[in-house]
Amino acid sequence: MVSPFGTSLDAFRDALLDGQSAVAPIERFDTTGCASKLAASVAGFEPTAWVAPMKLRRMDPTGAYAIAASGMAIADARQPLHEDGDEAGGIVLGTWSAGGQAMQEYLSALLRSGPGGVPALIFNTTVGNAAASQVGLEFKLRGLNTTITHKEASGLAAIVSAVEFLRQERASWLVTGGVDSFYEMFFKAHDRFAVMSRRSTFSKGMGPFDRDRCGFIMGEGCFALCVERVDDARRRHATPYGDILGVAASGAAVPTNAWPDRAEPLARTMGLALGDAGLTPDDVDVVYASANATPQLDAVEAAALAELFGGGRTVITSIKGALGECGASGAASCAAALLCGRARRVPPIAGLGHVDPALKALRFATESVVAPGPIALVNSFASGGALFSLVLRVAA
Amino acid sequence: MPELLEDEIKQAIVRSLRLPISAEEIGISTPLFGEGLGLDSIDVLELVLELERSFGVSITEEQLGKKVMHSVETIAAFITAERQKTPM
Repeated sequence: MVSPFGTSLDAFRDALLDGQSAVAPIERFDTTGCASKLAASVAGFEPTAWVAPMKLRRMDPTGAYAIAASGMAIADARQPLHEDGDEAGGIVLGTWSAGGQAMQEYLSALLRSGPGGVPALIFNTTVGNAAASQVGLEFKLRGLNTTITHKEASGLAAIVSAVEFLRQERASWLVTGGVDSFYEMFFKAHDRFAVMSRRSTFSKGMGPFDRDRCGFIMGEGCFALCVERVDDARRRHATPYGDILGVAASGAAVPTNAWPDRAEPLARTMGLALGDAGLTPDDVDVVYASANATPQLDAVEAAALAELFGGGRTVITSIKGALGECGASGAASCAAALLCGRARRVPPIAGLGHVDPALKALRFATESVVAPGPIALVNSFASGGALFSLVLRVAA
Repeated sequence: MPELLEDEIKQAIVRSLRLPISAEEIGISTPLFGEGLGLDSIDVLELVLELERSFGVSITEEQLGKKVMHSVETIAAFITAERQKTPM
């Protein structure tokens, strides 16, 4: 992974379990005039450690993040790479922002200097599937190469899709997950939409499900997993982090920039994933919620969670107070569920001071607690209404 | 001053192609492509545009481009020849 807590899986897990937040004032560009000035930025990442300098000059950060995180995931899975490429291996990557940063630069040059002034060098990077394509080229993955974009839910949408591709035997193994890197135009557009928190420093009260929550904080990074069918993993004596038991995709049918406005579609999506896994709500030990401190999303998701888990033992957490919101968030939640789950812990919701009284039917992780068991439900719900849920079992 | 022109070309190459090296590291006869500097066909597109932007010369034929783009030295010779055709 390439995360705001660095590239180490252990450091990522420990920071989450410690209740840390990577949210800080933005240093990447000038935020003068912006009402929002905070983000969770990638830290501790040196791209030249992963990508040759001659290749880096034609990439935006999502390409470098994706190559680095995919390379780490492939190595960790001990998935053998063949010198002449692998037709059975591929990538399904979710992203909200890939290509945007290069497009910003390209269009700025066009408007400033006309057609003769555009940087031809980065033209190939202005498309949304650039990062996945660059991963395919780097590791000679000649199987399926797909990019999926569903705004904030892109990362989990990709993992859900990868699972379906494996079920259809369209590939033997896949790198999957999400990648995003915020850039000036992207951030400032969201600032104009007034959807992000406007507080100047991160503190209690800004976390998901808090009574004083006031909008999300932008995040970024790349979280990659290697997925394969259980039989294939056993055959090559792999040691998986866990099993994906069920997945679901659904829709809330709301306007493009609106958050889901009713609990029913969200509860239905979670129910479909549990049904796909052959489980019931009583079987779920931990939920990694999509809640990101947006008043409406958190309230609607909490209502949906209350329908399934209200008054029960299931612990509800969200990593968005620690890492912010982005198109890689659902993949980050899967990584957190697997890594913290292996430590038999649940991370607290960073920034959660006072639980919204309207949401009290649920058992929120206000501090790091022992995981009641290995079954986790991961949600990722996008503005615009794309809904994804996934059920996994952490390896013993 | 031929040396100055060659220095300008090196700087233009490094700047426009965002090369991770300094202009001084490029030899005037070092091949720009393949085993030399390692540039490729996408770099050619950018370099053609850069020569138009910075030196006012156009390369419109592929065969001519292959000859001109061989090295800093051949680019300098081309620019000098073009300037002699069109008094500045």
